[in-house]
Amino acid sequence: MKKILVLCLALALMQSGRSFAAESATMEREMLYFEDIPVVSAAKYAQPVSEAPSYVTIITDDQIEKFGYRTLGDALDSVAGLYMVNDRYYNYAGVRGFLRSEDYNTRLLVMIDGHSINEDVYGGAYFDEWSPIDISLVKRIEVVRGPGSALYGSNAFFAVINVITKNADEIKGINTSIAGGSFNTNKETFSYGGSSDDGIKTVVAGSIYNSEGNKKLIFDREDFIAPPAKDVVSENCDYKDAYNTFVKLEKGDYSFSAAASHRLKGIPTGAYLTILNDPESRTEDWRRYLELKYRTRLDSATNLNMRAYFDQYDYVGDYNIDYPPVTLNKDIAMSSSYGSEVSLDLALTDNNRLLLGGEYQDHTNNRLINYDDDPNYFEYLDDSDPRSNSSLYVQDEIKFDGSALTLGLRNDFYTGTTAQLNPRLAYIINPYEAGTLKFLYGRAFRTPSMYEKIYILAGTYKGNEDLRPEVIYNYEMAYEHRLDRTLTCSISMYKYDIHDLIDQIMDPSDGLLVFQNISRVDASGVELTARKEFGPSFYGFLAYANQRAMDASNGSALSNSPENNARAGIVFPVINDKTTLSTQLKHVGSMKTNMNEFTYPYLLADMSLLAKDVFELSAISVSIYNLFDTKYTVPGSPAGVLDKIQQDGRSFTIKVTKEF
Amino acid sequence: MFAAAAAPVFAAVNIAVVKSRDIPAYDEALKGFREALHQKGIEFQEADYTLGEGPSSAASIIAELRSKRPDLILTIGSIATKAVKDKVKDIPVVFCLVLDPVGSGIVPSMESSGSNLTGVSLDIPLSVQFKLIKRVFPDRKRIGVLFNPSENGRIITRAALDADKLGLELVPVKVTSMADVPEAVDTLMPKIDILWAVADSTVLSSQSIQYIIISAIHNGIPFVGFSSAYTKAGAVMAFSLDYRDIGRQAGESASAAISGTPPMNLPIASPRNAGYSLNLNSAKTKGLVIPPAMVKGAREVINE
Repeated sequence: MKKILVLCLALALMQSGRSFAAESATMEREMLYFEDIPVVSAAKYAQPVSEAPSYVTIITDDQIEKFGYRTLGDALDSVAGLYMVNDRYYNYAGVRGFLRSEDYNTRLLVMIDGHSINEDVYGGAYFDEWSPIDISLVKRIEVVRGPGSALYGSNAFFAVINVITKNADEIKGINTSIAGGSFNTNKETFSYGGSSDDGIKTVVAGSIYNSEGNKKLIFDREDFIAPPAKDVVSENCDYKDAYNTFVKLEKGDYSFSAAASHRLKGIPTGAYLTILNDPESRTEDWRRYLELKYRTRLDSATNLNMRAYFDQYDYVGDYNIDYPPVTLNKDIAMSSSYGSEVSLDLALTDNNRLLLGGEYQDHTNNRLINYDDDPNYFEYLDDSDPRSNSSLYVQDEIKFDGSALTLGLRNDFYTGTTAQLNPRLAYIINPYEAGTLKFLYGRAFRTPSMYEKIYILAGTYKGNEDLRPEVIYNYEMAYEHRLDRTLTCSISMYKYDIHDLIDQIMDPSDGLLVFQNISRVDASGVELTARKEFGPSFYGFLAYANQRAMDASNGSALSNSPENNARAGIVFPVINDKTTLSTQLKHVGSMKTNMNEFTYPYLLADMSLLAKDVFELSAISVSIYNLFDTKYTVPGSPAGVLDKIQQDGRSFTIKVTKEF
Repeated sequence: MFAAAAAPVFAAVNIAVVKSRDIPAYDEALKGFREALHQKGIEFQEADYTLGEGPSSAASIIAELRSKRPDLILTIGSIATKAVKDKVKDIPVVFCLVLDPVGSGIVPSMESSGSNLTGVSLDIPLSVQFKLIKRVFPDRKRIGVLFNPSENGRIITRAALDADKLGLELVPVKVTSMADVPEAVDTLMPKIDILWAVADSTVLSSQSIQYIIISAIHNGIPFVGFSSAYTKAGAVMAFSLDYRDIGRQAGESASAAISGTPPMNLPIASPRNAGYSLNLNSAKTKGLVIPPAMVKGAREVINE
């Protein structure tokens, strides 16, 4: 009997205990509605634009799709203070009134998912169809204007452009597109994004591009450096073939990416002494890289980032030069390098974030070769420029009540050059809820490229191994105001000084072109942007830049430097949100050429109609570029025969996309 | 001769208020309850009780209620409601801020308690939640959720159906202990476009919440919480309730009960004033553009 009583008591206690436990669990769930939660600082992984210690513009994939941007260059051309110049060979980005012919964008650091795509020979980054990823793979582009060497080292001179690619979940399956248009252009793209059961996220993408280009270019005789007797025709020389492939694998803290791209381009302008109107003169570029990243949280306040990478770039130019006789000149460049970087991201307190890091790069296999091949062999150049560089950097962001201070410092050690110490300072104030005021200072540098130091071509170019790094000091004040949740305006005023600018001049002693640290540039300007969102597929933007960049030695305006450029764009739905029409206007002011002539200012209009989910296709778009067939020129290169280069008239592209 | 119709005049009623705990949300609801009664012209005297720890506290409160026999009992929170419901069968009981009153066994269905209970739940209807999610994130379809089947199995089953009706796919992942959460999060992230939270004490501990929000940020997945504390903490979106208005709803039910309507004839209500808050900074870091109409409609927007 006693045992039964004890058992009943035990059961009763258990039951009441279970009930109490069940009620506690219920209470606990209910209390989750009312509890405070510690704030997770998003700054550990990313910063809102308003908090970034720079003046930043973001271009989204939605803008890329709706405005019909075909390349990274098209997208960058919409940003205040940037302007693209195409010499029918490469696309160059002018930034804040500064652009040097044939500098191959070496004063911009361009990255894909944080990996620099500036190659090792010319320091160049490329924005057309052969950049390592296709524009359709771009999630967003971050344009950070101002010197970035305090974090990124050389090349981050005028701006840092980081292209963020879509991840597997954003592609979600197979995406294919076919595009065709003017100049007998066609482009096919493919992308796949998926995840395996064991958590490996995979992106595979590629594109193939072919274009005959402008089959018959008529160059006005007045546009030549040395005007010929009559206009000159260049036929079948503007062709371009390109492809790119990209792979990204992610699992947990590890990610691996690889890219390979190639371009074959005809030379329609007689650049590099080539015979104008000779379709056999051509160039080929190859760019490849591999990168392995490891990012992990060591604890709630510490992130560790590590990466190792390998890069390659090769170039071959077949130049038919009429010395006389007509001779095939081979211009070859090759480079490979490897590097690694480690950084620690520490949240010392909720208001203090510290970044410490170091990087090492070894450029082992850099080589430039130039020789006449046929009919008579003669070698002009076979030289290499092996070097290594290492760096240490630190950046501290301290938040106060209503303001933030960022201090950054990076020291770069290059073989054969004095160490470069680059500071950066940003003070950000929120004087009221909707406003952000930034005071920015930065110093950046650019080491001379192998091309600038050692290139020799056929009695035209000579090298200069005594080149020093060029340095820029930038002072800037930027202000952003959010008028309401849908309208943002910003203004930036800046001044920069460039010392020891590396520029190409003709040495009077021998008539050869050579790079020297000869120039100093002073520039100042203002950039205004406004963006308004009316609805999900209804938004517009205005961007205006006024800039004055001068040679400080004589006060003369720089070449390739428009005093004004402006952009305006609007996207609006037609019928419903799935069909949109966009219009973009681009104005570029007059630019001085190398022969002290001036190009005319021009206004271009582009229009794009995008329809989604039609006719069992995912999307169809029709885009017209230079809608009003405006005739305009841009300055040519001092090494070419054209002082002004005519650009394309009206063209169109039709693109069909299917997702599976 | 016709007698003029007169507005009902209530004698002062005695109302006992039993709270599960002393927290600001309950006090807000109580203020709303009082406002509703005042608006209805009901004079009342109020006696407040708050449950302490353990079952003995509830027992003494119940004993006092039986002794004093108020005209109506307001219970705030599940524990208070359960304590009163089990022991008081002959006095109208109006509850509010109760999570899943059907699942927790307080009432058999939302249509009627079948007894002396009525009230207002804490849950925003799942269909309302998914409709709002769909409008804030129009291009995202796969909604992930972590849950303990013993706490939220029934809700997740219903949620899958409601999501499907709206063309959304619910991707649920079970966890049975707190230690399972990080791996479950990592497994879930690649398969979803949105991470949706339900009140689950196994999933949402003070440490795991941080991990979940950070993982969501790291993976570019918007996290949708169920209280505005989540948007303050970094979630892109969170549903938010007006506790005061929930109290008003309870007051309106109480007014009907006081006027003579049996509580079993008064359906259990869901919060009528459900809203949401947005964290635009978190959205921006993920490259998300929230439709401006939804930004305008948010009860609270965090933008710094």
